[in-house]
Amino acid sequence: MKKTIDKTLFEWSDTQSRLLGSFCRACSTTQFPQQASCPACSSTDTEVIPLKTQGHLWSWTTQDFPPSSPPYRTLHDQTFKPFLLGYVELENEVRVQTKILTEQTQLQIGMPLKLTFEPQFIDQHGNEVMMYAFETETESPTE
Amino acid sequence: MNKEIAIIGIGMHPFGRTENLTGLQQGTYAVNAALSDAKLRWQDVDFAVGGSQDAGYADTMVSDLGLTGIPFTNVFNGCATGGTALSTAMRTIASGDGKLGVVTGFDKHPRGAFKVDPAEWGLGEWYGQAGFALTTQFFAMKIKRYMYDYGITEQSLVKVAHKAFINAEKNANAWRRTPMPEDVIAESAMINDPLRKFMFCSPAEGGVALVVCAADEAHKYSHKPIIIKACVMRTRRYGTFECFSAGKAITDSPTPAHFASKAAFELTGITPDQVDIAQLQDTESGAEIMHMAETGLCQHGEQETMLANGETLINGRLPINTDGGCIANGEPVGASGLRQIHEICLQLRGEAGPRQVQKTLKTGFTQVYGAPGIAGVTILQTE
Repeated sequence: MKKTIDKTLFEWSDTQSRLLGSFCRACSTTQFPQQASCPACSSTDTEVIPLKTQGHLWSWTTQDFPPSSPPYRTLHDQTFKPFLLGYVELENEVRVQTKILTEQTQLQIGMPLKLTFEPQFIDQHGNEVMMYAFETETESPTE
Repeated sequence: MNKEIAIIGIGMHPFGRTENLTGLQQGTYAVNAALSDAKLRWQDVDFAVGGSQDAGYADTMVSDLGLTGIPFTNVFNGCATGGTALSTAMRTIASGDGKLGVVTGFDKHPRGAFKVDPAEWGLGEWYGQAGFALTTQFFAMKIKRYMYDYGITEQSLVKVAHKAFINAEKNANAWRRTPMPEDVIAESAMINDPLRKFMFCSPAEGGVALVVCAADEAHKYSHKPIIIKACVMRTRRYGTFECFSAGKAITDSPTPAHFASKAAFELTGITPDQVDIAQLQDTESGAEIMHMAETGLCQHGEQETMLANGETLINGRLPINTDGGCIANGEPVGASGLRQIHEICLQLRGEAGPRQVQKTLKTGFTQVYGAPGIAGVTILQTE
């Protein structure tokens, strides 16, 4: 069975899976992850909204050494596989910190990327724990 | 603050790794060195402030220093611990609650990258599970974007690290004192692109202490007191890009280092072009480059030329991190901010030995940065 790494981060279903943010009705800013109060204007008049599924790369880096584990969890517990991460700007919404599944040599600040999901680790009950990520628009789905 | 405060004694335990001493003992060593510098005894001190992240409560050092019954305040404020300890001491003197104070910061961290518990930073468990709970990633992504925006090249990242080890060779208190050729730095292992192994500081150990009193009483203790013109701390505003941010606003704001520096300059009427020497947070090469502009000491993008021309070397136009900075000293969190001040005091007093800047120094500047988006700044002057 598949489950989300954190149910506040994204809605998860077979048909439509999207990141969730919070929109401030007072100052019209969007936050990710969702939060009850607005960090821009301190209002508590906020609502949870689904976020755009496409955006542009704002910055990125590589993770070339294994993060401490715990807390880091991976499917490849025996051998660490370096990964890419960055921030993707969802237009007029928010910049989201994310894993990036595109090849490093193809990465360019400003390039379009789209939302996807991948298993982060298997929990003690055998569930696949799903994490969000972004990848190149043109890549064909892996599933 | 109406009443000016002066630093009349400085002391430090060498940074790096000292297997046979606890962090607390290194702090105690620094306090004794600072007292000795001011020709004072612990019995003369009427209050103290200090702190560490991982090395225990500062006030326990009274069991070694002497049980004199004075108020001793423990503070912890991340990378701003030293600055917060100092500003607490300044207010204590300004309010009349104390006359002669000791300020200390010390630490001793395990080897390797800082261990981060996401919950302590208000983050969900998922953040660590996904592999995001690493400060080094943030520094890499901030400089990556900055290089894109302002045309900074990898060569500048190399130059900053190169300078750190050259300066540290002339500093007996530094940790990594072997100069490293630029190509060795440029080819060292990639940690988080574009930042490589020898561009990063490491968690370390060390202790620093200051003795402070009212400026109008300073000459009783020191022939060359250093005046603390400003000691300011600020946190992040909406729109800045900070460590441990799962999301960031699409609008950008100037950084906490910008606002802390601006406040310090406005408070004192001193302008950035009057700064003769600076100590800036160089968690890695990119941080020093960005902080040069965030503090107002240069324009954004100007760093590329300044570094190529050697302007931040010891005898350049604006010497930066003359003691080797965090890159060559390592970062004991509780001690790091006070190390910066210690170096500026030495330089302003003309006592920095082989790394003494060979020009008249009047005004020094220090700046720290830390998670989750804090900055501390001081402006120090000779009389």
